Amino acid sequence: MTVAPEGRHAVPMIVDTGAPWCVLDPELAEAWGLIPTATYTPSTELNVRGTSYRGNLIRAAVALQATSGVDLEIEATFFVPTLDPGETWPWPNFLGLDGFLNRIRFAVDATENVFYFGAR
Amino acid sequence: MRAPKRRHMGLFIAPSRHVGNKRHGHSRAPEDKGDLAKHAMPIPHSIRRWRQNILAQDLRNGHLAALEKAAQSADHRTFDLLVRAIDWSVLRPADLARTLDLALALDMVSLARELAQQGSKVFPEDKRLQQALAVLLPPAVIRMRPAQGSYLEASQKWLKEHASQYKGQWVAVRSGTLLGSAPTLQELYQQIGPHGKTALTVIVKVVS
Repeated sequence: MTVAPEGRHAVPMIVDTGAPWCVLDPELAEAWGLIPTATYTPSTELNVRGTSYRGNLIRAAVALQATSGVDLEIEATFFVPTLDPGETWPWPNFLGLDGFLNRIRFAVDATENVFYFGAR
Repeated sequence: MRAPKRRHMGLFIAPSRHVGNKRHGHSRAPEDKGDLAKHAMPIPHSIRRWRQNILAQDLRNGHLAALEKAAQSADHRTFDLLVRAIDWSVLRPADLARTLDLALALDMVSLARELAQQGSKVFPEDKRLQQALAVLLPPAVIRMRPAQGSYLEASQKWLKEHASQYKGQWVAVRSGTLLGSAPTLQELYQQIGPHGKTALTVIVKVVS
């Protein structure tokens, strides 16, 4: 899926129904200059693909871009990890289930590699 | 076993306003509809506070330690049961926030959201719990707008066919045409300039 905040360039994100969170590359989150409507810093590390990271949960609006039909702009929760100096983010960006996908209608055509989505 | 002394004496006088009928909130007999117990003197605030603190400390030492242990061993079921058994109103906001964080660490997002909702009701003045509630609200659809269609499809096709040649690089593509590639996003931004960063451009880090 391709995702973009209002007026910014788009990035591909991996749809991962097994992921609880949407996860953003910290370098991208900073470069996008997202303006969060809410921020929370957990005292615990959060799990990304079996590895624990400290970071912030932010609430921001992004649009799911469609190749046909309509784009869907959604305010959702993203985890933005905090990296140590010199550390690089090894993962792609994810669209997770609880913070995003479970509030829209979606279907997957695995054969054609097509993701259908719409508002509830 | 020794019988109560009054039975030995064969005499028990129960005056009409015997204190027993207001003791512990119970009546003398089940069929009596006695008044609830009222203390002749109000319990001083300091004593009440002390009793609450003792109770809270017991819970902190008991339930919260058990919660930490369940979280450490990734025992989701026990963690969930413990969270639901606790009366949060006798604990501190920081205890609830810590439990919420443990739920997040366990990927129990729905439970963390429930705790944030509960926390905002029980401790409405606590800023941290209010922040947690705001950030954990369910996602909301803001609006729909017409898709840009063919621009995006062409870029997706290009990435599918060529991205593997740029492992470890940031790549910018627009309408199926490569705009640039660089090891960092900032360097790529400098390459493509402000006009390259529009909504029609797809930028991706090719993860190796």
